Amino acid sequence: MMKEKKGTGESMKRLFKDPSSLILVLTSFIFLILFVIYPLIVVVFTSGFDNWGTFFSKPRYGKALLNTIVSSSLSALTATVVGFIYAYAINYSNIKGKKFFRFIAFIPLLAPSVMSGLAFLLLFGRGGMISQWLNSNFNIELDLYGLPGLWIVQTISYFPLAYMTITGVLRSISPNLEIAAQNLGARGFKLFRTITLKLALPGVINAFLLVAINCFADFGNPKLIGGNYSLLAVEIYGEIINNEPGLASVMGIILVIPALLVFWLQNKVLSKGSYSTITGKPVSGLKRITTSKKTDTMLFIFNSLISLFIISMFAITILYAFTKNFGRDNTFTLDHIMKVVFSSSSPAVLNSLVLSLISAVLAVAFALVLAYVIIRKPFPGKKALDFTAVLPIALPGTFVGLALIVAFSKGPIVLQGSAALIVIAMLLKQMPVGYRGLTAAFKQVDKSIEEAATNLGANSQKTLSTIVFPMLQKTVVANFVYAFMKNMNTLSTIIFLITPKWVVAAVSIFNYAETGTYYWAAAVAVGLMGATLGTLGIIKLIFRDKVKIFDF
Amino acid sequence: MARQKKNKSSIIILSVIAVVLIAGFFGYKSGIFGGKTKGKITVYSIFQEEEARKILDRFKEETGIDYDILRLPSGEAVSRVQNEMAKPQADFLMGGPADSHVVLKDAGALQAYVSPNASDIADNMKDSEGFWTGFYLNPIAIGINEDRWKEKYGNDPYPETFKDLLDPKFKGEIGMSDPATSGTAYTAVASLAQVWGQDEMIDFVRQLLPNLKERPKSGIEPIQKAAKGEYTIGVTFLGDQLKIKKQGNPIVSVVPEGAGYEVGALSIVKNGPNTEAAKKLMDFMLTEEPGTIYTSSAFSVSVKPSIPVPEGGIDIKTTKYNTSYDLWTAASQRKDLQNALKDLK
Amino acid sequence: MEPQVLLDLKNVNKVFGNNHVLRDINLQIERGKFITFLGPSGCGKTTLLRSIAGFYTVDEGEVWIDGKQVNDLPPYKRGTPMVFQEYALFPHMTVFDNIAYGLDIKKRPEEEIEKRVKGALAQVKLTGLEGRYPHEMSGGQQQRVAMARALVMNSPIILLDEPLSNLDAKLREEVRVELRGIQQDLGLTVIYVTHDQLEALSMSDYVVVFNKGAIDQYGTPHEIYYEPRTQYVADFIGTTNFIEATVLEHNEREALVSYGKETPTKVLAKVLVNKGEQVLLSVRPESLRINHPDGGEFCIRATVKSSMFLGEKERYFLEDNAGKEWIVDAYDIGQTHYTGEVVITASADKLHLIKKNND
Repeated sequence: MMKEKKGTGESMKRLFKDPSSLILVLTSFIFLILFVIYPLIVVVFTSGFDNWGTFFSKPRYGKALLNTIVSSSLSALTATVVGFIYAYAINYSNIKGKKFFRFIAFIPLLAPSVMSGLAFLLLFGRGGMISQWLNSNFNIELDLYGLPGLWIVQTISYFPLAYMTITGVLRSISPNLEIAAQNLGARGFKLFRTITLKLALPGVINAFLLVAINCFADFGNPKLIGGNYSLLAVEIYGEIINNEPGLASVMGIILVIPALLVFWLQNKVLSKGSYSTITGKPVSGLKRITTSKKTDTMLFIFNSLISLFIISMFAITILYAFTKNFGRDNTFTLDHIMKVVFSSSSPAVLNSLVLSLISAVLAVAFALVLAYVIIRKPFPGKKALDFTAVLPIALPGTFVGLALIVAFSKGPIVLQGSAALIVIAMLLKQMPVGYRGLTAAFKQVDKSIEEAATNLGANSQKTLSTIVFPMLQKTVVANFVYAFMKNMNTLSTIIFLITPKWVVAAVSIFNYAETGTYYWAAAVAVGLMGATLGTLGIIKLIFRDKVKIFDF
Repeated sequence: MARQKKNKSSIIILSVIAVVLIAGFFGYKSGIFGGKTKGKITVYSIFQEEEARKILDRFKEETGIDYDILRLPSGEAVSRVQNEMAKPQADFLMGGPADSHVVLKDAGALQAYVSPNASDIADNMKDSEGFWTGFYLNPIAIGINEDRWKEKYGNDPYPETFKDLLDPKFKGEIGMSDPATSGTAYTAVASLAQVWGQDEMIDFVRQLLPNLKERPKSGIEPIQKAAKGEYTIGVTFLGDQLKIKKQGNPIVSVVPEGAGYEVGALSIVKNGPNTEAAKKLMDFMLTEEPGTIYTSSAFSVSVKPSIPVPEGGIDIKTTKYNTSYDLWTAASQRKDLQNALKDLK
Repeated sequence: MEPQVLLDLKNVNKVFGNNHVLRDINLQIERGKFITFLGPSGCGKTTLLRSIAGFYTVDEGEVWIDGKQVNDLPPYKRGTPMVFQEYALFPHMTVFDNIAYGLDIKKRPEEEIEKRVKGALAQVKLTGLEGRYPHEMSGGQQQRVAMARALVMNSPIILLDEPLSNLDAKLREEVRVELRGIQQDLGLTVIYVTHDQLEALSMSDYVVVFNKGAIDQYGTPHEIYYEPRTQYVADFIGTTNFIEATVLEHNEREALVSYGKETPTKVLAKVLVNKGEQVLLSVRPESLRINHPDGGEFCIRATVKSSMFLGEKERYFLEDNAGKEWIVDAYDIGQTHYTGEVVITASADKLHLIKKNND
């Protein structure tokens, strides 16, 4: 019986005949081993036995873990519920102003999650605008620090994430299903419960898990608002500052476990042959009519309330940014903006912009190379490479930052304090997302199109540049935009890596908010949002229809 | 009919522009461009960023040297400088209690430099070998939000001593930074340890903890928050309290018996990126102007005798502060005391 | 002088895992001929085509194109432009750029490209549409663009992988005729893969019939239809009736065979048979007559079981005394309708002898 010519030996032989592919494969391996595997190993080794003992013996740490789990679950729950109702209102009802509501759900993405914390302080802190008003007029003393405040802030911060996940799912449910159910007699709540909710469930669960993981790793808000309610991410930070990398590593590992669990859960839910896709594409069908006028009114009110909340957050920030000392001196001034945004001394917003752009470009480029190499070229260790590439998605930002600082502050390679490390940290967080997106897009590219190119005389490089890349352009640009926006806003990942030369806007906002210099915090926040918007605007101008930004 | 030629040229132009911009930015960052800016100085500031920037902006005007600044609480700053000894990120450590600088000197992280402008500073306010130089003086004080006090405690007398703070009526109404990690609070407890002895001090802190609403990491926060009405009492350095009061907040300060004080100091980090500029900065800071700028906004007392007590400030010689407070002792005891305090959680 | 044989496959074998997909393929294809690879899905015809194009490397055997052995030559160097089943047009390029792609890769001068592309467009009757994008065109137009893209390369050999399967019936007929016309005008060598026998018969100079990875027969459409070499070929092409017969006597040209209890018939025998051998006789439904006054050398009684009116013919399903089913097509018979017991006849030259082999 004849044997086919294949196997590891064969594929290695073919790879060596193809030097450009070989270089790509090797680069991918080296990068991932150096910046994912190596830091992970260092963290595990640094944790050390006695530190595990310390962790479990001091009640303070156990409490932090418990608090983190409790607050994250609560926030995730409410964020998901809010996100669901909001998404339902937009996709299923007949309310007016849907465009506006979609826009509102988008704008929190322009700002780091810590800005919610800042705005919350400005409004509801003990000296906040609303608390003062309540105090002087109704004699109510608001104390929302600790769990209540954190809960509220995280809900608002992460509700857009829940909303986006769920809206994708809702849109992919074919209206024909509901119409068929109505045809058979189902109405109102029963229709909702038995059809819509059931079909949307995997997506809702996915949203919950996503938010939970983000809350788990959240650093800025717990630090600002947590008060005495200690949380794991904050403790990790404290230990790093106190020069206890071992203890920090222990806590980091504990932080990662639920994240990995969620990651595994997500994969299970995703592959469970969902009856509608988790992040689906909108499906055409007959027009959906499932809500009554009464429901519409309630939904409209709900969405409006949420929008009011979000708008007031931004409004208060802007007010603080542009007045001398809001509350005491309301004269308009550009002073703060000039001082902290447009000055050449520690230009935080400019730093953010440059680093985010560079990192986003690298992230997308690397993701493209990885996707191409893994999908199209045979070589040994492909599965391991694929897993390593996606792994950082499961790791909380705090952990990634921790691993990098622990691995590269001593030892053979010292990168501490360099811009490179910040860029790499951002890259590690965003590249896997781009990689997943590009892999999915790749799979949708009909292989025969690449074959046609080869058939007509194009070698791999030509095929990649003239056919593959242009066809994936939309995905590439979309991923670039996403990576850029997330980079501008990351805090937890890079808080350990900041040096004076490279202070980044998100960190600046956090620092100013922490020390109570609110007007500067607000000014940097405004500057950051402006920079993000401006860059998005430029990208939109360059690519026009090829990229979906500002589509409301 | 010519078909649309793919605009390769525009892509090339765009990438060239991008490369040039980025290269230019990095060049600018590292201070390559001569002319106006002669390099940059990198500063870890324990001073509030506002004050630090005021001084550094004047420095920039005078010398043309630009700055990058990262504001950190003193504990973090010390930690960072120590961790970065293999590859220091900063040139200059601005502010922070002297005992923190002593710790760093002992670790070998500092660069000795005796500035000619330091000659008129008293010996017990600077390091004999020039590793650090004092800049201002600040006693610990109990800061009270008058309005909130009236609401909560009516006409009760203000607390005069530390032990007065143990009164259960203050539960959740006091803010003080964490003595286990914050330089500010450590100064307070270190002085108490010198006056009462270590055990009594630890006991005191243990009893005080339930009355604390929060333990912020930064030294000035307690009075900022007290001023905003989040609680009634903030225990911080006097200068911080006076500054907040000047902003229009209803603050009353009491310097209690046995209050320690900090000498806020300056030092140059060894092997920093721009030690030349750091020396210039040190010289600059020890002239009249920065001292005046700082004390008038921070309401502390300058170590230079030529700078008068600022308007609205308090001459501490008129208070009951701990005149025999020894900051070198405080420095040497620091690790032990802080560990003991950590166990109180 | 160009060699007459353009494509030469020697003992080509290909294995996928445990699947022996191509078995001992030996084939020689002449210049300027239209060759069809015919067979059901999974028979190996597409695999062979793709092996010629270079997308697969053969595990054994040699592939020669135009006098050169190309086994190790990567697909982009083979010069075998292909028209894909799904057309595989580049969606981000205009029709013009699609067609010009291969020439661009070769870095031909602009004027030449323009001239050749325009020429190809004219050939497939798409002049004027060069500025369009693939998604702006109908399926039929896209198919023509795919063809133009292959034709423009001026390669002596062109491969087509079931290019018409996505078109509706009427369009398919039109394109078939045009394609054959272009091939003949340009003297191209075309290898055309299809499972549609009608296409194979109507367009080809030669047909290669594939059976589970091996070639069962290589012949003209006439030969394939009227002189199938194996039971498989006979069965695959059109409909046929198989008669199990025994050889009573034979010489080089003829054999005397008997079927059941019927009178033995003399038939042509182009293959070597032995006395007593069990053979198959294949006779097409249109070659059989019902109750024909002229009768025929072959004659059998049967009963009409059912019939289907198909417009141009009525297809009768009958059963003879031995229980065997017969299919007879009656053409142009007007109102005549047969029922009950009838007599089926055929002339001996319509009975084709096939050796039985173990498939």
